[in-house]
Amino acid sequence: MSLAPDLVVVSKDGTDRAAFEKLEALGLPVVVTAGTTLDGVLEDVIRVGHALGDDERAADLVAALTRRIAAAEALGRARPHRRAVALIWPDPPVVAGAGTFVGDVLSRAGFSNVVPRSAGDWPRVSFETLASWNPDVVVRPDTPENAGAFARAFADARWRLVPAVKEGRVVVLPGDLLERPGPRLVEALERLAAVRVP
Amino acid sequence: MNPRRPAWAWGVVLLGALLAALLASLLLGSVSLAPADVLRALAGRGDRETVSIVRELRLPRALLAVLVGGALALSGAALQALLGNPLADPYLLGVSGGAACGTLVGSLLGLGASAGMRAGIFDALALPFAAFLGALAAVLIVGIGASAGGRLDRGRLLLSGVVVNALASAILLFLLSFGDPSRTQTFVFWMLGSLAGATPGAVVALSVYVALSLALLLPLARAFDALTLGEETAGTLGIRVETAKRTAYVAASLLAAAAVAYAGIIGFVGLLVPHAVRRVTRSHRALLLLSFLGGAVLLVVSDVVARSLFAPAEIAVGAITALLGAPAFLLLLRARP
Repeated sequence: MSLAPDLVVVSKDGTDRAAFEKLEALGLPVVVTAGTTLDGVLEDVIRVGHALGDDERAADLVAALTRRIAAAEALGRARPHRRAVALIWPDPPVVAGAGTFVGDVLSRAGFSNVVPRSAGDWPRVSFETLASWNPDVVVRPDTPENAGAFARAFADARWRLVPAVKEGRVVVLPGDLLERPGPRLVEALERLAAVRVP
Repeated sequence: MNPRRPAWAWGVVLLGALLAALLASLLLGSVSLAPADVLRALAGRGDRETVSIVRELRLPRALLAVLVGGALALSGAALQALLGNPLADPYLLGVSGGAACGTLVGSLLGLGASAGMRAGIFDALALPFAAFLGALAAVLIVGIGASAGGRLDRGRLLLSGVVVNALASAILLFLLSFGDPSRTQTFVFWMLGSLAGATPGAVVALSVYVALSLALLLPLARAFDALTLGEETAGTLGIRVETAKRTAYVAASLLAAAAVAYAGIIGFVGLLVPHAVRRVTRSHRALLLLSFLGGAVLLVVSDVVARSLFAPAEIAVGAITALLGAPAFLLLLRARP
């Protein structure tokens, strides 16, 4: 309150509903972003733009992002079909399901997600499950917080049972691009679509 | 249950159940393998991938479940005998909490990487030892809170255990907020209780600690029997009560600590299993051995359920032991003669 914001942007994922209601009750203008797909993220852009009284810039941004998405999708489709998994945390392994924005980016970049929809959004899975899925590529976010965890985990003998990790078919993307449901997700899509797997 | 069936017969029953549970644990998994191939892979034969899956993933996990379940139940049995209180359990007495703090501190100091990761045998042994130091610290504080005139007051032990447990949770939260963020998430998963960290090194290290504790506890069985008659009577029977209590406390802490270091905090096994076993035997020698077997069966089965219920997603095994344990415990209480 003491910061007197003009707008509070709240991500639905990971936010306590009560906290958000309290903000509203205090009379603060609140926008909740809830994008679980690329299209949902674009809708969030429109809503945030509207709340800021700048519909025009939001529309321009969305138009530009839409063009980039289409170009990236075309690039992804041109690549031979590959199966991928987005590994969010290595120990224990946590992966991105099909119903998440990360899963959406993966499939729109022309990969098929090895995680079945029935597994839920961010399932924790066993090494054996990963070995049985046998993805062609492992995509992982890179952040200051997870670098050490991935380095330790991938040195573990059990990860060698996953051929993509054993053979180094790991695509590393900055966590801020891959793990944030905002406009930068489009850059993650572009980078993934450009990935060429032997 | 027929209380007149001798304890060794129950031992045979539990051993059979354990073998069946182990077999299920080895045969079931996301890679579908023919039973014959699994058995061949156990002996190191067959194609390399199958051998790796069976010997590096399934077998260590099944054996870790045996050891952790057994250790927790044995620890609970010893604590219950020691305190003459059927509510005693490493979790309730703050021992698990202290062990968790010790593990976290040890890991932040770089011991054994994270819960059994790529551990050589020294690393594998070091982490439970750090947990043991944490557990001992918890025991000492509980002991100070509960001692009156140089003796442990059995009634006050439980109360100070609850307080130490709360203290341990606070320290854990404190350490987690200031510790290395690349370990935080792993630790949160670990604290929920999981056997996913199973490696051959973890299994070897845990068996060393379990064997050591069994060697300490089994000779105390007679003292435990005597303690049921009250401490003074036990003293007149020639039992060195305080020594027996201290040894048992150390062994129970060691067991709980080793289990916590590799599998996090798993509740109910230490409480439930000795309760069930006491319905079939009064002898503490049998009680300790049957509790170990019973705990092993319970945790192997719980892990199979945790792995397969929402496959391919895994759920925390601690949630399963609580879901199975709470109703079973209430039934046992109601069925009390």
